[in-house]
Amino acid sequence: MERIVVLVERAAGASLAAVALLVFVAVVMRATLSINVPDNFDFSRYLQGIAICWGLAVATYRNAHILVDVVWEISGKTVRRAIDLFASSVSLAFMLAFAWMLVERFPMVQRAHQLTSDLKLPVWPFYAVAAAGIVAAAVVGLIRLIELVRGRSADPGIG
Amino acid sequence: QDKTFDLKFSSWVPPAHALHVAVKEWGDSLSKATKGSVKVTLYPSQQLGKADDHYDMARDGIADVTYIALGYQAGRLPMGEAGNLPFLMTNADGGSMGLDAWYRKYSAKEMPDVMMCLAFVHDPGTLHAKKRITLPADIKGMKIRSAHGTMADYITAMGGTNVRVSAPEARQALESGVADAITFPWKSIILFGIDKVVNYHMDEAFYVASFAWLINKGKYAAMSAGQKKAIDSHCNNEWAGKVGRTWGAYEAAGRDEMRKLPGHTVYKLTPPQVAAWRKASDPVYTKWADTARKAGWDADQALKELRASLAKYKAEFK
Amino acid sequence: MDKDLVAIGGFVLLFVLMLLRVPIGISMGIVGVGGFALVNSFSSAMGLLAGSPYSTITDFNFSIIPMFILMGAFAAAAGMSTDLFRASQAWLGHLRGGLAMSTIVACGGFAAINGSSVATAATMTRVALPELRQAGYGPGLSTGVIAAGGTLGIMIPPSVIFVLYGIMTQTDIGKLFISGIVPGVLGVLMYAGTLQFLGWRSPGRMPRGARCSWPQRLAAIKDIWETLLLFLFVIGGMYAGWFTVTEAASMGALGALIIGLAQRRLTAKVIMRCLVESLRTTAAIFMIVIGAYLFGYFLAITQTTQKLIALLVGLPIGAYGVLGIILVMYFILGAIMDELAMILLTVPIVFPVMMELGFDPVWFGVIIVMTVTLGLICPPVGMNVFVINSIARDVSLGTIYRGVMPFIVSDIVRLTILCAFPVLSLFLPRSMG
Ligand code: NA
Ligand code: NA
Repeated sequence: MERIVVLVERAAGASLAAVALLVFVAVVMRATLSINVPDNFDFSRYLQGIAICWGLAVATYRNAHILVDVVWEISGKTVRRAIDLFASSVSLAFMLAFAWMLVERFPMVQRAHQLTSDLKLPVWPFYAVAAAGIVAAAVVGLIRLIELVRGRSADPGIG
Repeated sequence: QDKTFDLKFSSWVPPAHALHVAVKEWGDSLSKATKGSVKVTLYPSQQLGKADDHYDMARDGIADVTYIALGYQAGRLPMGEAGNLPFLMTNADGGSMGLDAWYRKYSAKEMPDVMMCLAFVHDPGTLHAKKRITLPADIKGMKIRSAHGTMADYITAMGGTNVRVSAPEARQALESGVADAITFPWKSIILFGIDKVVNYHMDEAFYVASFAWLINKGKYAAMSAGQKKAIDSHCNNEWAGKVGRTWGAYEAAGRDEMRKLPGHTVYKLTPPQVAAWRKASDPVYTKWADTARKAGWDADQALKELRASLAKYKAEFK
Repeated sequence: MDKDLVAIGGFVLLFVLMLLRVPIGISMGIVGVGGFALVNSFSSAMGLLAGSPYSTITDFNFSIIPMFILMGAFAAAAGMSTDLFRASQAWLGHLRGGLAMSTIVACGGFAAINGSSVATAATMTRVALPELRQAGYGPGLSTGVIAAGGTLGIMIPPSVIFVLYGIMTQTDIGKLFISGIVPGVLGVLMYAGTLQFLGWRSPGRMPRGARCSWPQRLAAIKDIWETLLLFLFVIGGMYAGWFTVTEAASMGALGALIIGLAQRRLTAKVIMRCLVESLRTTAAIFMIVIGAYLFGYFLAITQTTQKLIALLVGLPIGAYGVLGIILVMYFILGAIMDELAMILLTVPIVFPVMMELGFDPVWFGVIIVMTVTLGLICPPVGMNVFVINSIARDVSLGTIYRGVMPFIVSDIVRLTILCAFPVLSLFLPRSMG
């Protein structure tokens, strides 16, 4: 599992770098040669969407979301476990609904036939890859909840 | 006794915008026509969603009434994008009625999951630049902020480059020199303070942006026969003209204002120059027709009909 | 169901979920979507969930956030933060509390090449904390000074908070950036002044370091050229018209990478680490942005937003009275809440009120950043303090909070000055027309 997550994390991190690179190339080409890099705008924003969705999957795995610890910190062992179970279940419910809606919406996105501005390429593949990231986040959330119920610690020890 | 409805109208312009006036007028009139059984509550300034999401919002019922810019999402509504073609129409009033009358035939197929109430355009906008632009060849090497995708295609076809910035960011882009020119309606230039950074304005009906007013299908279906009738009488060609006129008059006043502003040059083109611009727009018309054809439409016939409809309402660019 | 009741219930549920350790973004998302379903319809709420988050994360304007984070990560990995600290130390180290003042100045310098206060605090903890402790500064003071210095990250441009504020209120982000320079420098001076005051009260807490020779000082200055170059490239390029404000962030990220590569300080492994770190921060931030938008749409449809605006504008206490109430509210919210969520939730309500009352949008941006600054170091929920605590495990949260207290006082004074003299924030952006 850890190895897959590391790979995903690197791929998503690389998409962030790709955004920077795309914008950089577009700016340089525009400023020096007055050349449009076709669709740099759409490519970079859709890549950003993909990076964030898969980043959310990784954040779910690593328990790296921003949260408020005050009550948890002052609680005893049993209460802590209850809080962890509650928080994980609620988060999972949200991620499942989110993933479900993106998947359910997919045929509609495909039918809408939206294209990129310059090259007129379909945008649904970007949507599909991003949605898959949220599905992965939901799956990871489920695995974590099961581990938690079985009594394993909430933190995988990394992150 | 009719059931009462509180229609949520989501608008992306702020309350100070001229379109907001038209939106308010429409809502008040509808409420009056239904003796208050259909109320309209306005949510301006993208309170319920981003501008680009307004089609989906009307479809999903996040809002009950919205309007969208046709062509904000390339390829999604190819026929609707026809209105955005350059040198096509000359005024907001007849332009809105001409586009509306023509588009009704296509909108049902293009937008199957919403009810199109009416289509309208803004007063023709033009090129506002830091230097005098008279021929398409002048565009080569210029960096331009375009109003929509069709304009961006046009600029690219003439050898210019596109700068993608939001309307509020446009002034800064022009001021710093990231952009050299902008396609924009007249009054909006002054509203956004862009007149401080560009002073040459081509006085031609260069382009318009077209819009469609949408209603959630489920909400309409749930209404009584009388209420539906009231909605229908507010979703007709006459109202399309009214909306176009309200916003159009506001933008058009900006042109007269600009003429009087010191330090600004508002200039006409000669007929041969106009012909050159229209010739240079051929690739954009071709590109549009290709996309429309791919979506299954008879593009040439449709464009002919659109021109005829615009001519009927005295808005065709001749 | 009554919309006011649903809105109040929504707020209560939001705080309950957050206190029960549901991630902040997810808490807001759940209440937002659930509330939308209650007030409007279930299917429209599901439509909101399907549409809004994706449109948020694919908004090109938001690329500024991950890109400035990436720029900071590359800059830190390329050793720019260490160089800044060394240079400040060479010039200020021999003064009373010299190393602590060097830390503040280095924080200010690093702030100029990254957009986040948490990143500034985390970086400077690694760079300066071991040396501060070794030089004999107490654990509270040495962490407190970094927590406070870290907040400069969002006042001195570039700044993630200014970007969010600019996007939400359609205020010129370029002007906002410039408006933060004077308040940021004022922050550096006032933090240094605070240190001098503490040193005057108990000299033992503020050791002096060795005096560096002039050649050493000049050599140290030479080492910060990368930072200067990067700052000038990003901010200068924006105003020279090479690129837009949005593009500037990506240019900075790649610029930092190129400088690091040219100096042979960045290896493939280090670059990958920077990318992964930035991705984690980005994902965590965007979960909150996604949730805040969902919650915001819920508030808008209950018309709570509109009602609160009308209520505040109508208060018969004058513009400055309303401003006072809003600042007190921010002080309380900032203490107990995540600052990003606080800004995203409140600005749509507070901004129209401020405009209605005739305040300047750019100036109010500075005030908003000041309230975030305070929130980041105020107990019980101060993100900067948490971050330092997560790196320096041997210093307790309580100790850090005690150490940062004098700087909170200093920030309250700074906030008052900036409110009283808007010209401090405005003369630079106004001079550029
Ligand atoms: Na900064
Ligand atoms: Na706080």
